[in-house]
Amino acid sequence: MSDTVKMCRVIMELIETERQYVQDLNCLIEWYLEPLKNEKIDGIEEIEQLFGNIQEIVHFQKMFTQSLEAAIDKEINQHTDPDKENINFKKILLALGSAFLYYAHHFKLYSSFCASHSKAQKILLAGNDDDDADDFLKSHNPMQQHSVALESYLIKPIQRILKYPLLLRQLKDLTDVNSDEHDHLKEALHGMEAVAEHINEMQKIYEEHGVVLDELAKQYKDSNPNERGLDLNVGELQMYGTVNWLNASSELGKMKRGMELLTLLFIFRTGVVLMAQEKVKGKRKMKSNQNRLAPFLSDVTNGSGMGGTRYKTAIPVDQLQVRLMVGDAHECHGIWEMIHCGSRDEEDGRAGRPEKVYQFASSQEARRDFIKTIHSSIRESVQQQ
Amino acid sequence: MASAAATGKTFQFKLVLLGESAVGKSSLVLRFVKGQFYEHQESTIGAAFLTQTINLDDMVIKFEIWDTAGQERFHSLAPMYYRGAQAAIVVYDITNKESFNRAKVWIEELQKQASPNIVIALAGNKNDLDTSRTTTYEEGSAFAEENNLLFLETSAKTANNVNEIFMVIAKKLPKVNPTTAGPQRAQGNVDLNPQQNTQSSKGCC
Repeated sequence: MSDTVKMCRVIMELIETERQYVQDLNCLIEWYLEPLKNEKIDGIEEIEQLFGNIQEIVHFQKMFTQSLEAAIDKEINQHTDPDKENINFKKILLALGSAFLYYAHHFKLYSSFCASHSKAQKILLAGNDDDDADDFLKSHNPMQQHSVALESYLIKPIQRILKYPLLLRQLKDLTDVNSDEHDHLKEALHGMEAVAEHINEMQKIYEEHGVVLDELAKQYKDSNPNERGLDLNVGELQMYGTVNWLNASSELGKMKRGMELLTLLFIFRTGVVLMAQEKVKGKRKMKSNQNRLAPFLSDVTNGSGMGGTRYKTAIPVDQLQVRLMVGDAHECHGIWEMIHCGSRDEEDGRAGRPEKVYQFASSQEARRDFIKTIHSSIRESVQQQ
Repeated sequence: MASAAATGKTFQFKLVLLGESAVGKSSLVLRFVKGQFYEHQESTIGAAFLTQTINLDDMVIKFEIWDTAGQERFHSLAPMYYRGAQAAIVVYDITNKESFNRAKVWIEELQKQASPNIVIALAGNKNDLDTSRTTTYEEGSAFAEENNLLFLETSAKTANNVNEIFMVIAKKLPKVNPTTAGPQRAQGNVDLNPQQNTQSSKGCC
């Protein structure tokens, strides 16, 4: 088999499986998600989020498919030449690579999907005692075939997103290392691998902290029913890391002997979450103080000797301020403050929420990144209002 | 095949393949399902899974095979694949020691996290490359024995032991709750609910 014929095969596989994938997503919506809306199943609100994610994904994937099709359209489809000798692969490959590079960032919406996927599966599949969910699933899959089961449709996005790097790698390996298209495909491959890493990372965070994050989002929604809500989905996460919470004792009192506090800060687009967990002192040494979506966190929090969550709070960006502490002493310890603004006097004269100041110490670099990220979330929310 | 299908009961199982990249997971599936092997082209399958039916005595065993193509690096996503699986083949490459170590980790994870009754087979693939082997048959077999796994060395290239490994899995799988044609209202749906399944097996036996 010549390289050009192989190349053609891989390109066709990419396109054909892409079309099939979009079809499968449509099936999922029509066959399961739309009808589910009319069912009375416990926890159905949670599934709605999944539904929203899938619709977003379908919408995006259709666009993406079009750009792939546009890349090959004129070239491959009009060629009847069996040896594929006259096809301008350079043009096709550059266009395919561009499509991936252009959209790489968009694929990150799959990380929300993964988290919702985990939730939905718990509700639909683990609900042994929930006859409604069970009946619904059975009536939509009377032959009990795996291939048309909800579960197998739900895995497709994961399978697809992880397939792209494989296909791109094959294409790249079939090109001349000194060519432009090789470089282009290499970039695209890196981009899609980074996407997969990101999704993997978000999934890990969701597994470890999802319960607390979901709880905080629900609490906020319950106490502020008229507001926009706080989106604490991992897909919205901008940055996270650990901080040294200097004035923790004003909230928590003194730490028990032999215990210390592990404080995590999550910056979302619409708010910030502060989570403090107790752990046995010196049980694990922190490698780094901060990280922008990098995989060290699990190493730290998986460690034994973790107590429960001592403190957790979610602050919407519109009630948030950050302050850089100046002066040499502050500078060298990387001290900064996050302020949960007090609510202004309301019309009925009730005392509002008092201002709360959280003082942190981070490395210089971490402090800069945290403040930068929080500022950009605040800016974004101001612009949207 | 047709006669058995006409008389026998059909059992359906979800089977996942796990293992390091390039050990031959997709090749094993392709060999088993289609009888094909591609020497040079990495065998991409495209579909999320393939199905294959085999006959065992008077039963028909239908495997729905979930290939986890490319996801091994992205570990957090793996549980989505093996959740609810009744069988798993953990594959390593006999010429790649690291892939054997990785296989051990997968097995440990499956034993902790997957359905408690999952049938796990360990496959030492590429046994046509005996001269460059880095993991001996004995190593593989001893590890399998310690961990109560099925074990075979296979070659997707020569087809050696490929059908066999699916066959030994089929034999070991508990045969409860056959799939019948038409809507099925019975409890103990094999696909989704392993716990329920065990309960119903107590009831019917």
